[in-house]
Amino acid sequence: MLVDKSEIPSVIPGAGLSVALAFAALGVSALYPSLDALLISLVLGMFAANFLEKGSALEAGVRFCVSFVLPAGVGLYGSQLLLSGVGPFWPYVLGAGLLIFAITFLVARGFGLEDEMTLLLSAGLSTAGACAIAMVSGVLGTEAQDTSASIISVITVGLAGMLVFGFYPQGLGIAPGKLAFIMGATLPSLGMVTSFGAPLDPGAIRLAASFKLLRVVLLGILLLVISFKSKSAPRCRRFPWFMIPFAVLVLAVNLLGGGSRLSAALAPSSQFVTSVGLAAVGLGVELDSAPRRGMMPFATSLFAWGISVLFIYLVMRTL
Amino acid sequence: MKKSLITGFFIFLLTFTAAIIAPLVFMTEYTGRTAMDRMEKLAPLLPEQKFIYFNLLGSSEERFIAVGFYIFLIAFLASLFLGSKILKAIKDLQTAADAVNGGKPAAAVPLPSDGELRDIARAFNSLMLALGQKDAELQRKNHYMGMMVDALWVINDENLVVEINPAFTRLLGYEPEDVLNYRVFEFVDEEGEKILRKHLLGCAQGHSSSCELRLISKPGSLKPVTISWSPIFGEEGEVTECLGILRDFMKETELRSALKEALDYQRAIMDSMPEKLIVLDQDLRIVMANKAASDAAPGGLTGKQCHWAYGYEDCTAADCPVKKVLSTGGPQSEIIGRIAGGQQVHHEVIAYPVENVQGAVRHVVVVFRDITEKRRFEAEIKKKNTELGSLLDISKTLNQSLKSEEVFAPVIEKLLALMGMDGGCVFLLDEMGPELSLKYSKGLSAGFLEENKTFTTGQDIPGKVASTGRIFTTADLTADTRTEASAFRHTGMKACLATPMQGNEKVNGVIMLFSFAGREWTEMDEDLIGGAGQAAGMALENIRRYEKMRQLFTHLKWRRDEERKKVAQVAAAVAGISDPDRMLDSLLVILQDLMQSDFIWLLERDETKGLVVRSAPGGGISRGLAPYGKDVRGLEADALEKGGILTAIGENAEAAFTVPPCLEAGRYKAACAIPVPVGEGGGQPPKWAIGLYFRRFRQPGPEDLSFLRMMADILHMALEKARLHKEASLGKSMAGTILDSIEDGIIAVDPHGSVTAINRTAAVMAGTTGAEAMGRVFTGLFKDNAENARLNLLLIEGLTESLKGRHQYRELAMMTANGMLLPIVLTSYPVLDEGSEGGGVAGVVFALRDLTRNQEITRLKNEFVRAVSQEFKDPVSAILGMSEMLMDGELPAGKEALYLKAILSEGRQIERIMTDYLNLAEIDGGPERLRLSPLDMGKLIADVVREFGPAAARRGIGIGLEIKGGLRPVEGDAAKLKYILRNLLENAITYSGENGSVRIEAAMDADAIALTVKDTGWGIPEADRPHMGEKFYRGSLSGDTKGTGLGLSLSKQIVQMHGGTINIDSIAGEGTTIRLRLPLRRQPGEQNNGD
Repeated sequence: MLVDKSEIPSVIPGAGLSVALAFAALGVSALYPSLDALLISLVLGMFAANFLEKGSALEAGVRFCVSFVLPAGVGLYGSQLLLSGVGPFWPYVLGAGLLIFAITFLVARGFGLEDEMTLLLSAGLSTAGACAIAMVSGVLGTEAQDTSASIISVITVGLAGMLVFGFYPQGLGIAPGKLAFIMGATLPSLGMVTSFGAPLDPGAIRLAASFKLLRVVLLGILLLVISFKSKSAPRCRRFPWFMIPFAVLVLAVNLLGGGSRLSAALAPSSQFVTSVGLAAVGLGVELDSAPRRGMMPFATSLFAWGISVLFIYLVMRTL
Repeated sequence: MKKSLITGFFIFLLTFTAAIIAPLVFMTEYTGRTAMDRMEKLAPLLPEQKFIYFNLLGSSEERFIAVGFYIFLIAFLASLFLGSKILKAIKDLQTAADAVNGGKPAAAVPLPSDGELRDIARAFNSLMLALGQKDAELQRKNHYMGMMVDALWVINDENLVVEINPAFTRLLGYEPEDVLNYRVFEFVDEEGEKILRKHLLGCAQGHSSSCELRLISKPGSLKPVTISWSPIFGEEGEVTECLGILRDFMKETELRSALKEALDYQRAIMDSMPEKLIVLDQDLRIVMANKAASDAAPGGLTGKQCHWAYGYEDCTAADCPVKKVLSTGGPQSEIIGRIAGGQQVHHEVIAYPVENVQGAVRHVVVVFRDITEKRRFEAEIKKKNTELGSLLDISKTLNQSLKSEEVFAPVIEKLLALMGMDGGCVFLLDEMGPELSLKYSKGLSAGFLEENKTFTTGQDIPGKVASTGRIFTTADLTADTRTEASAFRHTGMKACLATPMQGNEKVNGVIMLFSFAGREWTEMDEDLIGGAGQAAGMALENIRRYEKMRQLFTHLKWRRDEERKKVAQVAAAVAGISDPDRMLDSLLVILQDLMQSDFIWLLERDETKGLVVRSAPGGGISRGLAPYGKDVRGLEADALEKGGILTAIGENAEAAFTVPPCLEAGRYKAACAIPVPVGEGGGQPPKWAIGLYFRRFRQPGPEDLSFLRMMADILHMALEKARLHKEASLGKSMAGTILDSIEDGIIAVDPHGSVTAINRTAAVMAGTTGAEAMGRVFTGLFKDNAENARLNLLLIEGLTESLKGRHQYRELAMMTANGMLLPIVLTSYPVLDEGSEGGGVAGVVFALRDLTRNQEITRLKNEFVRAVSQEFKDPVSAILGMSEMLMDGELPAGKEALYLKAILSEGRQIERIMTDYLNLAEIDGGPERLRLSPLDMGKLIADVVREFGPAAARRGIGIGLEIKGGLRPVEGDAAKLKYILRNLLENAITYSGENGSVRIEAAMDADAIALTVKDTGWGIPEADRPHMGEKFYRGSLSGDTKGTGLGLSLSKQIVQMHGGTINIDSIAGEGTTIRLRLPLRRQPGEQNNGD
């Protein structure tokens, strides 16, 4: 059992609110397709948490959604990873992820950030944005203030990057395939990739999404490494179990005959479950932690992401 | 703050939007077309044709909302980080405010960039600065008030006390909370209130004043104080408060009375002083004098010059201490003397400066002390010290002298000098009689001395002094009635003093001192001389005691020398004797002689007989005799039981003294028994005792007993030495025998390579003898030639290795002294020194083993194996071949029997060979392997001859047997002897040509049987003869004949084992004669090694 029977009543408020916010986000996204449901659910969660009196009643449900629903959603997203699109580029995608991780790590150390904040920012920028920060935070047991500041920093930088890619595709002067690569390899959230995929053709969007999803593999490896290093986290949180359904679904979708149908069938589910998880993540974010932590996390994220994208962009230009 | 946040948000929003939109606008203006057109135009130029753009300003309202939302979201989130500065500024202000509230001074907060907050922070910092200044001012004021010695209080216009300082608390005991905001009149009585009101009124009008009144202190007592009032003016010149400075009036009163008391004490102290004390001003006029000084000047001293104080008419001395004090400023002291009343008077003047606060000398305190009497005492003490020194000299002289004759001259000289006398003499009392003898004199004529050398006790002055032991003095000898009959009266002496030389026990003599002038004697003179006489008497006793001790010491030294001589004599006697019995006899004889005893013996405790005689030199008593029998205990038995020396003299015996029956009872009056220690270190119970018997009564003294104990120890050591010597000799002899019995050459060397032992074999190899080889360097033992160079090298190497504790084994060849080249094995072994720490190596043993015999054995072994193989090969091959043919059935009919016969023959041949080898093995076991029994030799010979008859007949050889006379039975091994006969007969038949003859003769020859086997065969070639009888040797004529080469060798050995002989005579081509002589009975251990 994921939750003890006696704890179910305490889980319901937080989980219910997360579900409600996810439905709202899906509704908004249905009205305005450019507003990605995942991003909207996270933002709604953030605003709900800080402009409503959430109280302690939501804590258990939020914790449950972050710990189990969010990884489940990420696992389900394995169904959206089409290896045929990724093809021979997967080493470059993973290499780009590692590059972003390394650059962010070095910049954060250079700016004097603490170990935990460094890891949170590096994981968020290089793998899966808010999802990654929430999961790494669960393993490391970081303070809510650090987690919140990291999520806000990464989301802000990601959104800015998303707009840059969305507004100036032609200014970058590279082909859509390369642009898809850059977006998939550098934007921290899947929603950021898909929301502003309009500059690209549908194939390129799927390719960019696949590139993005491929970086989830890095998240699994990172969590595995951190879980071995960290003794404080609960055993259940140490192992990135979501990688198992992720891998199974990746194999199923790409190797089975009806893989594409399965992918299409699981797309709404994966989006909804992940939205619930991200809404819960948003509910856990304290907006006032950003001013408390100061400019340094944001500056680190912006600087590291900028260097990384510039480097990858320059490389892509030469290819 | 909210304003700042909102402002920041919008600034960011506008900036960000402008940053996104401006380029698009720019591009639109530049081309004059829409951005979409621009993008479409550019699209074909880009690397890939399929280029899709974002239609920001297009028709999609949805996309516009999305972009707006995202921009809004970015601006919102980014502004959160911007708000961090404002939050920090507020936090700094809050922290500073908390510090101020907590009573701590706050540091200036940093000024934020925000306008309002910056103003607030600036105002806050100004406020903090003002607060800090006020606080510092207040602290300074409190500090000053706390430092004030005088108490103060401040009264406001409502007559309330509004301020006090710590001195106020110290003066009246009130704490601030007891006083502040109370009416001032509560601290005074009614009278004081009136005074207080009057002065406070004046003060309120701006006047300063002071008053004396009594305040009520906290304990309730009234405290007199003086208060100085001063008005405190406000900013507009009005009097706001009154400041009152309080001084303790009681303290001044107390100080005055204390000063008076001190002056009274000073006066009392000055007046109580016996010395005169005056105080002078700078003009040397007396301003103060104590009672002693005033009493000495009835007219009064005050105002007079200082010299009046001590009776001087004037004081012009340059060294006046008072003047010195005035000039130097330091204390001075001076002794001043003058004649007063015909006598010398001395004063000590001590002057001390009295300085004012500036350090200038304003007055001089002078103390006069009359030290005339003190000076007189000092002179007397000096004189006494001189006398005491003289006495000490005399005492020292007496104590250092060891001869009485040498003592008196210096003593008399010192006494004369001390007392100022003209002469003196010393008489000594004889130790055994009443006579006094003159020992020393000075100042008396020779004639008088000649006539008065001795006095008896009681006679004349010396005799009376000696007899009474009292000092005699006279001022004038010639006028003294006590000395009318004295011989000294006519010597011219007048004053005379005689003192006994009193020792611890008696008077030892008399010292007389005299003067040719009259003199009165004081008691001190008598004490002085009496002490000198007593010291002389005691010294004399000590000298005499010393002389006795010296004589005793000389005697003891002589006795010790005598004992040493005796011991040396005993040691010399036993040194050269190794036989214990002889040594015992010698020792006992010496001991008897030394102790001058009439009989001496040594008895030994025996378990069965009691005490038995071990040695009795010269007593005619045999060794082993039990002199006391079993029932009687002798003196010796008691001494053994006691473990110490026992002496017995008649009835005063320490132990039972029973003269043993073997000695003549009644002849011996005294005896002494001494137990002799046994075992190494003498740790075991003694079992031997020496008995000494005396025909006269003799009690051995302590020296004798000590000597006897020493002699017993010497005897014990001598016996131990003899035992060890015997054991060592035996061990050495045994070791030599063992060494010589070893067939290998053995050489032992010390670590330097000098030979310490060598056995016979090695000596033979080296061509030397053991005595010659001892001490020589081992490498020089063997012949120095090329063959032995390696030997010498290996010897040195073996020494080196073995000294490190390692063994060495080397095979080599050496040349012996007689020129033989021997293969040897050289082995070296370290000899470990078990006595040394760490197991050092004391030497090395070399073993040289001759390998010649080993090589011969190896050769024989190889020969034997070869012979056995050869012998067995043919018959076994024949048996196998014929057996296979029989089994295969390939033989012609009727031949089976022939083949079976041949197989039987070959089998017997194998049996014979085996018999030879078995016999060989048995014979190698020695004569003890023989199974002896009486044999009829004639029958045995006849049986063998009969056995070989058919074989001889087949070859046409005739066998003749002749037994001469009757043969007596022989004790021998039948099988072995039969083997000899068969062997001899078989050889004779085998090596005889066809139609030859063999003759056997047997006859008695004394106690032996003589047997001759003679054939007419081929004989033995000369070259083969020396080898006949050697094992496995076959003659050159043996050819294809079967045989092992053992037959003759075995026969020879069997005959020898029976104590017989065997001889071979042979002439090549003519035949061989073998003569065998067999004794009837073999002697035990006999084995004839003849031919």
